[in-house]
Amino acid sequence: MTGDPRLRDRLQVAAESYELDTEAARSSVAVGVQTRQRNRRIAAFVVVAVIVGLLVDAVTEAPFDHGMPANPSPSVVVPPRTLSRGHQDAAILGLDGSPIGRIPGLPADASELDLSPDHRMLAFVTADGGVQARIATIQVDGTHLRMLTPQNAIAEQPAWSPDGSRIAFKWSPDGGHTDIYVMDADGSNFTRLTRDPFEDSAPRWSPDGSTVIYVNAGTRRWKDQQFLQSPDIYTVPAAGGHPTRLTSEPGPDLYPDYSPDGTQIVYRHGDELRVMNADGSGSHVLLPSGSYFAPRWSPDGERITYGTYSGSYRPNVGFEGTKLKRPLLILHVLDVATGASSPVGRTGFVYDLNAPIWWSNDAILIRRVGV
Amino acid sequence: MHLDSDALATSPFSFDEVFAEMFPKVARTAGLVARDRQLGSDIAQEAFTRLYERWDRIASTDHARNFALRVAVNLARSHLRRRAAAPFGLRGPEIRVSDATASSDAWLVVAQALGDLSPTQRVCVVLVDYADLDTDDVGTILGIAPSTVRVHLARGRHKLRAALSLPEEDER
Repeated sequence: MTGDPRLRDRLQVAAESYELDTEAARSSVAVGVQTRQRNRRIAAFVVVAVIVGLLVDAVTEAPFDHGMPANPSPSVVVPPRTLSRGHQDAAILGLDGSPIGRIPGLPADASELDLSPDHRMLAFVTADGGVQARIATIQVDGTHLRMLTPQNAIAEQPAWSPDGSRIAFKWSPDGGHTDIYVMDADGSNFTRLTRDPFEDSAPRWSPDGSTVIYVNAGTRRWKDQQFLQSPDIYTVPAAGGHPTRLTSEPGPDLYPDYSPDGTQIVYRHGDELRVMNADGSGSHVLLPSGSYFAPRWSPDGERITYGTYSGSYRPNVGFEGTKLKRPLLILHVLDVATGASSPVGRTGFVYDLNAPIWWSNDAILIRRVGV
Repeated sequence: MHLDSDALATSPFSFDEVFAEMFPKVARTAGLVARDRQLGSDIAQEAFTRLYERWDRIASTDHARNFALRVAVNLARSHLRRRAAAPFGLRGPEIRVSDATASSDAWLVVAQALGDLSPTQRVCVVLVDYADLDTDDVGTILGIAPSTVRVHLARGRHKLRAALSLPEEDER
């Protein structure tokens, strides 16, 4: 296929219309190499120390060797630790924000956590030292890290099925737009659920496991700087079938999550936090115009967590080898019956896909960042 | 840069030479794919850091070029995808209004026009029509068949010509 000289000229003129400081870049590469070599030495030391610590723990007390109850007490996890500003951990917090425990062993770039229904495993996204986001699982004791999706395609937003046997996620095996897929929890048996030509994202399961709800980016053209102009919420049978559109009002509909009884869906419409019936009817405002991200319903259905944007601080968080400033979200809890909402201490998380997870009715697991 | 490892000493070409020759092209390529000039430079630095770390396994300058471009393009695409997944753009925190540091209209016009292409179309057009790779190399970098690259390339060129108000070429 021959090239187009006019296109080539336009691209070349644009690309070379600005100066590059190559010398500064070369110095940065040298510093980057040295920093990584030093970090690897530190990491090797830490790994040895952790292994020694785990061995000591195993001798003195081995709570995970004897199996966990279906809904274990947060006290069984590793004790919390102080979190420095800009650093992340996976913490279990009381509703007043007080740390109860933490999940050890996650990669530094782990994000988009989801907890298996039996509380034994976490699914999450990591680049695992590579360049592409992949889905992995790890036991909540920090062992048995396992990469589930292949290296050559970006996979994100894992969501465990209610019976813990499958994981829904968004994927683009060919590098194009993403669709919703499900796989077995061991990374086998990939099944494609959606086939539309637009970006599909944010899958969540209905409590009975029959349906996956997701966001379709809509019929507008996808642009990276003017994206998700009119996303709507759809459902699709988890066993495969035709999607059903639930929202159609003008304005973006995002972050759907089922109530624990499966009769309602919380989501954001425009600037509002809304609730609708599971069939898309009866939409009404839960919280008026504001900043609401990643709502999640508590197991008893009485509360909803969500994040609100804080523009005062943008933590510099690493992923896929780069460090980028990310918007900071402050964790809130809403009482559904009264409409009263309050922040959970000064708990922050970066990136709206790091949705908080209800560990129990009184505790939240969150990929928090020190603020 | 201090390069004195045994692996590097056995290489018939030096990392510094490769860096000096290829960094600008990789940075500008990543900048076009990401439509962000500063990010292009940052991504290229990361790509060359990774290239340095595996220098003992680099067999040729073409291998080095393809590796650096593959990392850079994948980082740029990941950045776009993750930014797209986070709809902060609806409200402002992630949205870019215009590049205040833009030094030329040429950049702004082309960067805007590239937004009409899907990420894969954009990568194919930029790698072929700016970075001068052939479709076989682009297929290797993207992990897709050369015939698929040609499809994305044709569609991407068509969209880019339309966005830039250029007449259609006869694609052969």
